Amino acid sequence: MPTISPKVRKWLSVFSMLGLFGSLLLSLLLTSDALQNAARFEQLYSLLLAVNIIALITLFGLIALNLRRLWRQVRRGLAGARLMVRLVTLIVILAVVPVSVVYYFSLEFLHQRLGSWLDVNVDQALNNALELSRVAMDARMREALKNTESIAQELSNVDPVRYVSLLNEAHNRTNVEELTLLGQNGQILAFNGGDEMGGLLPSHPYESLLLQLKRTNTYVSVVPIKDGSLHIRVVLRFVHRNNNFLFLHALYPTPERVSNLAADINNAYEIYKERFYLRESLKLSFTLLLSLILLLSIFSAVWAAFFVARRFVAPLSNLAEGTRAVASGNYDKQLPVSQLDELGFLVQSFNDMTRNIAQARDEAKHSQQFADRQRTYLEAVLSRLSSGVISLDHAQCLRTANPAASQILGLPLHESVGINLTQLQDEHAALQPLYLAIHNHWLTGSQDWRAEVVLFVAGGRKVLMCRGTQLTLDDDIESGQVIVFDDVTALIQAQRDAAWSEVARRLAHEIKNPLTPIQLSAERLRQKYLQKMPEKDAEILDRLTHTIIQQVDAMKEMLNAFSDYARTPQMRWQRIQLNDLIKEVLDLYLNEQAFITVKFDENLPPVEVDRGRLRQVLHNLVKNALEANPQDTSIAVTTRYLAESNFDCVELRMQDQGEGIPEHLLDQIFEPYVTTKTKGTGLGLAIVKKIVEEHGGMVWIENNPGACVVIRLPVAPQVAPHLLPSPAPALTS
Amino acid sequence: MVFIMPLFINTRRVNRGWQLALTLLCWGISLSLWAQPEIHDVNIRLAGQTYLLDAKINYELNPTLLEALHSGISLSFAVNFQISRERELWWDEAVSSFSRQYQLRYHALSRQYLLRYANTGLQNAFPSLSSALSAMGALNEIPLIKKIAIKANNMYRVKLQASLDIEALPAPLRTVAYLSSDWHYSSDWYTCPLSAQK
Repeated sequence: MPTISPKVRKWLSVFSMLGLFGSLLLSLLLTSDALQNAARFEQLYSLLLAVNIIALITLFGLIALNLRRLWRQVRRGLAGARLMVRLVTLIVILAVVPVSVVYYFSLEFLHQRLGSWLDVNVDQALNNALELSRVAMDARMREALKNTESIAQELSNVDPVRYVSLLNEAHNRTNVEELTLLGQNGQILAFNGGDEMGGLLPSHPYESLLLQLKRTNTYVSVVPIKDGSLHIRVVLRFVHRNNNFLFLHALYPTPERVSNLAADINNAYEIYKERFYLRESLKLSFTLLLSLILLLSIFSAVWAAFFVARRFVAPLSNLAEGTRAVASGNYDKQLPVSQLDELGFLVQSFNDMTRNIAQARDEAKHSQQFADRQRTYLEAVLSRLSSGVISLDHAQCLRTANPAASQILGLPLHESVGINLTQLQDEHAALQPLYLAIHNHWLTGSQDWRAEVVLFVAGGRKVLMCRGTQLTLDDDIESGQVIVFDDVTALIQAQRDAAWSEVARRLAHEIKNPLTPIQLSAERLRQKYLQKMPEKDAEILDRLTHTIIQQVDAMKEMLNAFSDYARTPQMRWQRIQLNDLIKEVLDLYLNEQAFITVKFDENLPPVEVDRGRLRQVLHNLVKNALEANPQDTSIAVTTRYLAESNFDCVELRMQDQGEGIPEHLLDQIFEPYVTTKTKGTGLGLAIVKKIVEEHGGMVWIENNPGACVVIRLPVAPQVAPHLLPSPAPALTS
Repeated sequence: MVFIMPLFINTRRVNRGWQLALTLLCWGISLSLWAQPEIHDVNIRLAGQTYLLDAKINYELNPTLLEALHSGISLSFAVNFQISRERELWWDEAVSSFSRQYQLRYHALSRQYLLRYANTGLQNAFPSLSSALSAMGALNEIPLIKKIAIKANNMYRVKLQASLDIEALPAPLRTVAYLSSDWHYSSDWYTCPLSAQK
């Protein structure tokens, strides 16, 4: 099926409707003509009327369909439907009102004028004229009767054989046109007639007439003949001399002028009578015709209204639809431009506008995508950084934090975005050193700062190297700080281990090696010269060599202790209960003069430690505590489980009854060779600190008033192990 | 019967179908209160090579028709004939159909009723309406069909109906005539059988 373009279809529809209206109008014209002129279209009148009515009903159906469609469009709230309703209503009213007025006055005119045309006076005059014609005919009828009676008189006295000759004579003598003699039963006995009657057959008076004559004997009448002329018919009943009844039928012509005039009068009278009779029907027919014309006008107006309104509204409803589409975010909508008028210009402008909006939207989308890509890239970079990066806004609220920051601090920082740093610190007490570092630099307003912060968070003690930078952007609100921090715990540990190892190596190499020849030399001196020397000198040599040997031994012992401290053996991690280990160590001291009180937390979670190393820590501490006060050797050992917001730890406190640590030594008591005792290597607490830090723990001393050593060790990881770093691997030099 | 037969004619005379449809519609909506033409004394006989029909039709005009006649309106009557062959299990086959037309009018000057035979063009004048109507109602020796057209061993039907022809009325009157029962002056279809005669 070939596709028809909308334009062609539109014009096809217009032309077909125009054709329909035109043919309807023509058919109404023909109907009107048929009503008025009997000759031309009279035969077609009923057909035309029926066709018109059917066509109008069809038209009405079409319009009803249009109306229904419009009603549905209005109910569905289609764009432009209401405007179309208003336009159609307006056009229909504009068309219907004048047409109705014309219709009303036409009907009035028709009804009044048709009545007045048929005047009573004319009616009377025509009646009189007809009567006059009859009177004029009466004289001729009497003459014809008299003539016929004389013929009948003659016929009654002759033999039947002479009937024909007598009739011929009478025909020749008088102006009779046709003479017929009939028997008693109506059978023709004799006939004489001219060709004027149009045939050879006699015109036969009818049985009813013959019956009537049995009562009255004579019948005279004017009869119209087929061609319109008038004749006089006389029928007589007479008695023949042989007592038979006979009928004589005679036809007389009337003078042409009289006949014509009388016929004219008769025609005029009949036409007048007919018109008078038809006036009501004529009114009805004209009313019907006018109504049909009215309907045709209204229907064509309605259809035209629909057509015009649809054409007018189409661009507007397109625009409305387009606007809706734009409002709902569809900027690719382009409307067809069908006209080159103001509406077309409007549609064109709309198209330009949507095109521009679509372009702008695309550009915005592209830049958004670009920004997103940049952001994703930056995030990826940040998330791959091993350094923790957090940024704060102008109100010290957390804006961003990379995964490394969360990992280092052992906190899900991305959940805390937007929270003020002070509030964060309140919730997680472990963050306090970091907070203080940031806050202090914030208050001083320094642009760039560096600080080392030690935190005890999930995963244990952490040494962080923090670098803060002030962000100064155009917008005041955008400004803030970026803090980058690195977990340098392992690094520091390794550095320290390396340094101590180096020291130990050098000591062994530079000091311990010469000690043996010194000792050997001293022993040899003693052996060689002690017997030979005089007693007084021998005593001095003995004392001196003894001192040398003894001091060299002491030095060796000291060097061994130091090398023990510097040594970093492989850690053997084990999951243990701290309480069990403490009990195991304390059992060794039961024989000594010690009074040890223990207070264990029974719900202590396990810790992951190197059993041997930690045992050494405990020995060192117990020894220290016992030596603190020789008079009162009571020691209190307490363990407890500390569950803080972001990390869990196990705390061990060991309280002695000594004098405590002098205030000025409290900060450096864990340094090697710092001691309050006269005896000892000065490495006991340094080894304790080293081992505790190797376990990710912290240690400090509180004066309480005796010294109280506090050790905190992180709990063995079981939940969210990814947040906790594996215990620092031992670094070997 | 009345409603079926006009439909039957429809197939034969398509050009007049719409008239009959309209007439049917009017019959449907109105009942005639006046007497209709009556057909009786129908007789069919074979004369030589042709079947002839004699019949009598009683015409009795109602006041509306009388008034129209006396007001100079010419009334046209038609007697319609149909001959069909009976068939089993199927519609009857139409063999032939024809009609006789009459025109009746009143001549005011002579007070005569003029009856014109439209088929022949002959015209007669009658002093009274009853004589004119009885002349119109006397169907004498109407040639129906040739003898050879009627086959032996077949049954045929002859149907006839007399009616006033509304379409022959003046145009303004037709609308009224179609809508008024007074103007629907028509007899029932009269049916009589016909079979081959020796």
